[in-house]
Amino acid sequence: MTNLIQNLGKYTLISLSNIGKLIFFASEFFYWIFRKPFFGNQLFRQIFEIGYLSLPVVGLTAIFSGMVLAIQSYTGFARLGAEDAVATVVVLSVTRELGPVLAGLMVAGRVGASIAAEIGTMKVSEQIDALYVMSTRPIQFLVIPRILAGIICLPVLVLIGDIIGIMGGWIIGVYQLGFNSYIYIDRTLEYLELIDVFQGLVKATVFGFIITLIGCFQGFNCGQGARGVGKATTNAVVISSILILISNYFITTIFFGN
Amino acid sequence: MKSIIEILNLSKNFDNKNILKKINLKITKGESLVIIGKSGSGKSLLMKCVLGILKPSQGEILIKNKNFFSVKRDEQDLILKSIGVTFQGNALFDSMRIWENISFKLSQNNFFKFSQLKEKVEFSLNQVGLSNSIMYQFPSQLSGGMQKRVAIARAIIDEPEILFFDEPTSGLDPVTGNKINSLIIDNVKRLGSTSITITHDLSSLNKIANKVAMINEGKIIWYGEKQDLKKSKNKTLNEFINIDSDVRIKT
Repeated sequence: MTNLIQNLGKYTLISLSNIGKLIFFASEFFYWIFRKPFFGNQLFRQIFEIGYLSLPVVGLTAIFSGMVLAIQSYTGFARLGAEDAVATVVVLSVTRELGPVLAGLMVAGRVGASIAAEIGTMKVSEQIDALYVMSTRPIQFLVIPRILAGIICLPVLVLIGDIIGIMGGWIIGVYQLGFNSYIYIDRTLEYLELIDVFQGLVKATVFGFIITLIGCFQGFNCGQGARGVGKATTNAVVISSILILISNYFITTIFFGN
Repeated sequence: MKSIIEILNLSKNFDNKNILKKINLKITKGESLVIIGKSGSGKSLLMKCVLGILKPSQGEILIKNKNFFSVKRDEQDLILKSIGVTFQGNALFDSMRIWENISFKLSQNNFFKFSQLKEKVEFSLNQVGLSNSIMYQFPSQLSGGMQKRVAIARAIIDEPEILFFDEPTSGLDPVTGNKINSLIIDNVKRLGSTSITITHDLSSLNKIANKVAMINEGKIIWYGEKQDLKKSKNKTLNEFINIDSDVRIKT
């Protein structure tokens, strides 16, 4: 029993210390973002890595999610005789929830892991020390371009994912479920409001920040050797995925809580 | 003689464990100091404290008469600009080509046209005996010896006043290691720099040093001229420097 309490206390203290370190790390980002020099070439490189290279995975996730959603909602609504609502359900689910959350989780797996592994390897191989002794602040060179790229790219990826997901629903609706194409599109646009897309993009921006911040933080705080890098990579994916789901709830509450 | 680096009562603790214990060291301008010691004795840790990568738990470090940890970051940057470093594992940036690695410090701190940078990189590569043809390759495409040379080229490109070499011959065969030692001597002499080399390789010690300091269990246990090494009655030092003759192949 004493051991259990001791361990509970120990892990609580470690968790609190890590939260404190993360808050300090995030505040460093906000402090240095407005200070020179700004590494524009690194930002473009990260936009390519985080945004462009994530397009296939986000696109594939979106199209199949849209397709599954159309089938599932059709079979469910058919029991109530409300098959007509399929297009509306697909568009609202994709823009409000599935688009941003699935894109966020996929990018967390691809980009969050890659950032943590790259920065972690740089740390254990003294490349971060080398940056420092060459009068370059690692936070400005490594962290700021990655977080900015995450904030810029995720909304764009989600917007593209939304369109592809809705298209997936339309393909199933028209070619498998026998909806009239014109009516399906009309229903899609009829109930879609700007706020649905907007809140999805707000979520995407927050998720982009979370994924890149956690990836960088885990990389900078990784332990020694391959084991340390591996652990940092796993932590980056797990923590950012959990934070995505938690923040998703709060953002949804802010927009549609009432 | 005027000291360029002064380490005063430097201690460094990790998890309440005292790793570096009240280190005092004066390095004069133009000196070539070699710091020797067994693995884990605290040599690299001392270098990281001097470079400001790690903050000492106690003590002061004066570089060019400025206390590194009490000046502003801009002044720290100025101090760091006068220092070139090669790390034990080379620390070349994997994602950058060789020319980007070598010109990194110059391109971050000054504005140079690409042609000017290229010229400086070519000169630096020539100084370490490498051909310009490797400029567009990545570090992973080079052998260990070539990577060491690139790391030296990166350290010397802006002709720093102070050069740090952390285990410059580690992981290299004796022939390549000897060439790296010669490169260090040639470049330090050409630039008129002060050099601090951290090693446990006795051939590096013999070739590079004019002053030697030995660290054991976080303490400086011997400091002096290289020629006085063999006169020392320090048991740990004698054990360390005589091991080489024990393992030398007898023919």
